Amino acid sequence: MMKSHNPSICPLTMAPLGQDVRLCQLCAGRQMAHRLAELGLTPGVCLRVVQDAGGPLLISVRDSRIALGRGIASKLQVEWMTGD
Amino acid sequence: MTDTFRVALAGNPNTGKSTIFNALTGANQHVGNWPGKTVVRRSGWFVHRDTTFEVVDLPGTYSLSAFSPDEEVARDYIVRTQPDLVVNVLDVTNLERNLYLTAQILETNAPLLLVLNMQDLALRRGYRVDYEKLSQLLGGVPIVPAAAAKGDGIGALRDMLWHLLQHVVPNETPINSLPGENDHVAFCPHCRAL
Repeated sequence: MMKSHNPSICPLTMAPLGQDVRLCQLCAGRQMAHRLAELGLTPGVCLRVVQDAGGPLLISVRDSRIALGRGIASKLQVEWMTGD
Repeated sequence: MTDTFRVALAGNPNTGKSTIFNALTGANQHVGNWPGKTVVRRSGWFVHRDTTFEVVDLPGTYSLSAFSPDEEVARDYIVRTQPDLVVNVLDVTNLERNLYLTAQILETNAPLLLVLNMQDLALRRGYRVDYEKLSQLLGGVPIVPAAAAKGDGIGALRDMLWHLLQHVVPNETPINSLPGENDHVAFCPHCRAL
C-alpha cells in the first residue's frame, strides 16, 4: 500500500497529541496576535501539544513550554503532513 | 562618602528574579504596592564596597508591550523611571524567548547587565553557552552566569554591579566568564580585577 503525504490543517485543539505541527495562521485580533508572538507563536513556527486533558493545552514551542487556554488555542491554525 | 545606585531586576516570569533579589537584599527589604495599582512592589538594599545599592524587583514580563498592570509597572519603571542599571535575569534554558525582552531593553539604551540564571539546569541538560559570542552579538553587554537557587553567582553579581557603576557605559564593556562546572566567575577585562 502506498503511503501518501497529505497536508492536514486544523485548529491546534484538534491536532494529534505529540505531533509536530507548523503554525500557519492566527485567527486572532492584533493585540492577541502580538501577545502570542511575544510568547514565540509566530507564523511558521514549529510546535507540539504536550498535554491536553480537555481544558487548557500545554504546548512546546521553541525552547519553552507554555499553557494556552482552549479558546485561544482554537484560534491557532496548524498544519502537518499525514504520513509523518 | 557613600553613593547610592538604583538597580532594577527585570525579566520573564519564573527566571529567578526574586531568588536573586532575596539573595542580594536579605532582610533589608520592603514590600508594598506600586502607587495606584494592586501590583506588589518589592524593594530593598544592600551595601557592597562602600556603595549602597537600592534594588527593585520588577514583576515578570515577556516584553515591554504591557498587557496587564504588572507588565505596565515593569515597563514604566524601565522606560520612564530609568534606574541606574537594569539587571535582566534570563532563564538560560529558555534563551530564545527570554532574549526577546532583552532586545527591547537594549533598544531603550538603558544601562544593562544580563544574568544567565539556572546554570545548574543547563549543565544537567548538556547546554553550553558561548558567553563571549552572546555578549558580542548583543553589542558588548556584560553577562554573569548564575544558579541563584544554589547561591552560585551572587557574589560575582555584587562585584559586577559595583564594577559597572564605577566604569563608563556598561554596554561598551564586553565581559567574559570562565567556563567550568562550578566556576561562576565574571571578570572585567579592563581592570583585570575580581
